[in-house]
Amino acid sequence: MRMHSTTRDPGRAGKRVFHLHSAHASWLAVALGLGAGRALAQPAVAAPSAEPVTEARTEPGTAGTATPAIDPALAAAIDAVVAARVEAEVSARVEAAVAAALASSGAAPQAVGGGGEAARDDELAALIGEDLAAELRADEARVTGRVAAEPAYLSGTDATVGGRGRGGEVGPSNLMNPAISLIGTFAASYFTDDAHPPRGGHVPASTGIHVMEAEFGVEAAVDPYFYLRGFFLFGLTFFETEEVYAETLRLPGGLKVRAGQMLAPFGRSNQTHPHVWEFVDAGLPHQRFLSGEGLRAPSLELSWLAPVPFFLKVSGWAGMPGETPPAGSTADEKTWGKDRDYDFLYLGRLETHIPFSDAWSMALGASAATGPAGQGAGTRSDLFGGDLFLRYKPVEGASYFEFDLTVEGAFRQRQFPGNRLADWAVAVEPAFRLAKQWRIALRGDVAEGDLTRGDTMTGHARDFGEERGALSITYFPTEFSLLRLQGTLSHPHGEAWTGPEWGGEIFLQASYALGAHGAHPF
Amino acid sequence: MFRSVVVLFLALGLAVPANGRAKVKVVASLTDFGALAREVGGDRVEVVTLASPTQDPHFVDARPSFAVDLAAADLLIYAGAELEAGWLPPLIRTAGNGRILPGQPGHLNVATVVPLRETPAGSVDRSTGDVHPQGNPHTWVDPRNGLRIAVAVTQRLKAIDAEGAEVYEANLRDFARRLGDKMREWKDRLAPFAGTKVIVYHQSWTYFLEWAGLVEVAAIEPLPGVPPADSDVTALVEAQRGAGVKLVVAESFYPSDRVRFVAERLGAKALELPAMTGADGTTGYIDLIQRIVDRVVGALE
Repeated sequence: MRMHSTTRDPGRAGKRVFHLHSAHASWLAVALGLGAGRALAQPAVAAPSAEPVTEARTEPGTAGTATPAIDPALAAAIDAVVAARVEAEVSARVEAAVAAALASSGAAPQAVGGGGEAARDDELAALIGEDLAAELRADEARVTGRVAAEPAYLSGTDATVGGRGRGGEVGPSNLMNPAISLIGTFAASYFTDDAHPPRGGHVPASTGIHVMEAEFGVEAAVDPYFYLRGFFLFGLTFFETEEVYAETLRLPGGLKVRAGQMLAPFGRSNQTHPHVWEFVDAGLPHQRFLSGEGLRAPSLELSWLAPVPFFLKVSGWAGMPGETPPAGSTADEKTWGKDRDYDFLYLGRLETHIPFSDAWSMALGASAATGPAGQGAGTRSDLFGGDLFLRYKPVEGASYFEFDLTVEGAFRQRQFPGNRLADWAVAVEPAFRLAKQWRIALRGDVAEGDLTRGDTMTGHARDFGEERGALSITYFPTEFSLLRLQGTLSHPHGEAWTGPEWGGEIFLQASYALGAHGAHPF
Repeated sequence: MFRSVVVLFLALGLAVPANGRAKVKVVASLTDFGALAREVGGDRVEVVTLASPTQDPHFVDARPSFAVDLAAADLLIYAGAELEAGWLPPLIRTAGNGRILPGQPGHLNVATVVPLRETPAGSVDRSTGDVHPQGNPHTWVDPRNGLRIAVAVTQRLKAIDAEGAEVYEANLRDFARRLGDKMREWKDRLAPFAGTKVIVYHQSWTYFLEWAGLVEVAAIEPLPGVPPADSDVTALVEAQRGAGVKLVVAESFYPSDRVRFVAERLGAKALELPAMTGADGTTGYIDLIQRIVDRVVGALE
């Protein structure tokens, strides 16, 4: 696979030029003629003729416009020129080393870029010394099989990715494609009873095999100022714009604006996509208050990274309320709804991160949201939430062991005409990565309180509560695929519940991600 | 009015450190880039490194506290070629710092300034493992790349802090001289072992082995990033039996039992090597390469 023997000492490549083998002469002629030679031209002189041998000794830098002919006389002449220049000039030495490296590697010499190389080589030699400069340049020539116009590391900004100098396309280039990914998530499920509380989102609702979703993601920088991300969900019978928003890249003062359809910054799980959850479904606070689908809306967010020595982020978000309650539930169960066109939902969030050590750290967040309850007569609905994420991940030793503890809780207060309902929910999720490919997670979640309006005459609301316990075991063949087995035991109860007292759910889930998918935040 | 302006200027003056100027803030994803930045920047720079040197650099937590460092950075140095793709991009976006965005002198993607090896030809997908489409990102263990990175850091620091240009260049020259001397010494010590066959756990030693004149014949990982099953290890041993493999090398964060098993079966030596400055008590970039060379030569002697 390698282009050359690994035993060659690149440091000697330059010196080899001093006693050129005749076999190298023609290679050098080609190399110098095709481009490396161009670099030699400081005072460009006419094409070498019969006399350049003596000419060159007094006037270095005459190989400039040599044509790539393999005429033996010409090759010998160029050899002489190069040898002379090597004695005389630093840049020539670098060039020769490069040419020799190219010749001995068998790579077709190919030059990139125009003039100015010699000057850059001089600069490099002045910085790190001639020998090292020649060694670096020779090595680059061998690895890339070409003579770069200038060493990328001398440039004030990044060179083309990989230093390969691709390009030359006049029209659109596929190098400009955004990061594109497709994540397919499928599940088989078994429910002990068809009557179970609605789970929302694309969580399987009945025994069978389901395509939960195929998430198509596209993202890239739009220009120096904006970054655009789009996540689109396809199912067998639905298409949804999960998120499509632009965010600013370089607002001063730690400020960032996001605009578009986005998941609201309420809690932790609401800001993540289902394929990164530890379980097939979300915890009860998410399912009950944020519809299981996630609270998302056409919206605008302003966030501020406070100029303090620790992480402190303050976000304000305003969106159009319109989320749907979990399928199978009633309109009464939703947190917000729109009474008038100009009704807005406002949300604030404060989050911080405390690194206790290299291994232990904790993120804390508090969120509050208020908006129209959607029950008419100017009724309002408020939701308050707190979240904690504790992570232990040792940075020493040959182990991928991790321990995560996620706790999310929320309290909701809703107005109905002539009535006020309150309920709350908490989910506690410890998770362990036992090995690089294995994760095990437990979840206990509880929800209690008034769910539906009940009797409008007496004002007596109907309560609904649930306690659940779940266990999931996930195997990751690679970071890009997962297979998961989940079991859930639930105990729903309350006036608003008419189904069985106990329910069991078993899921087998598989998820596959292809392409370039953006990394997920902490 | 005049007085308040004076007071304001005094207040601003007090906000600047006592030596009269603020230090250039360098954030490096890996400790090696931080160490090189210290070599070049000396006391004109303040260096923060993100990943721990004993940690698998592919899997670092995107700690929000890192975003605070990035928000204040004048120069970001990272390996690139997707090594940090799993954690660095969201941090850069959270930081929202225009000085360290692509195209700025403050954005130094090492993969763009060193010649990458093992760049896949044609299109790639992950049926061949977690391949890096731009090439192998573990570049810094080749001292020539260390030097290239140091040159790049110098150029960037000169662009960011023109006043310090002479200092940076002098520091670079000094570093290049020390490293160059060492490189000759190391090559001399490694020369007797040229062509020695080596098995690696992950392809993170490609650049070092290439420079050292050793030959990487196989990796214990069946595919990049995929942990080997028992059957993979057995198959590897079968395939390499009698091939004359002398060394099996791995970083401390890879399973040493696999490494030892392969080494024992092949009659080779198992060698744990530090891949990042700070691991194994190394105190600087030259010290790191020194330690690697010492270990390799020690094992082969």
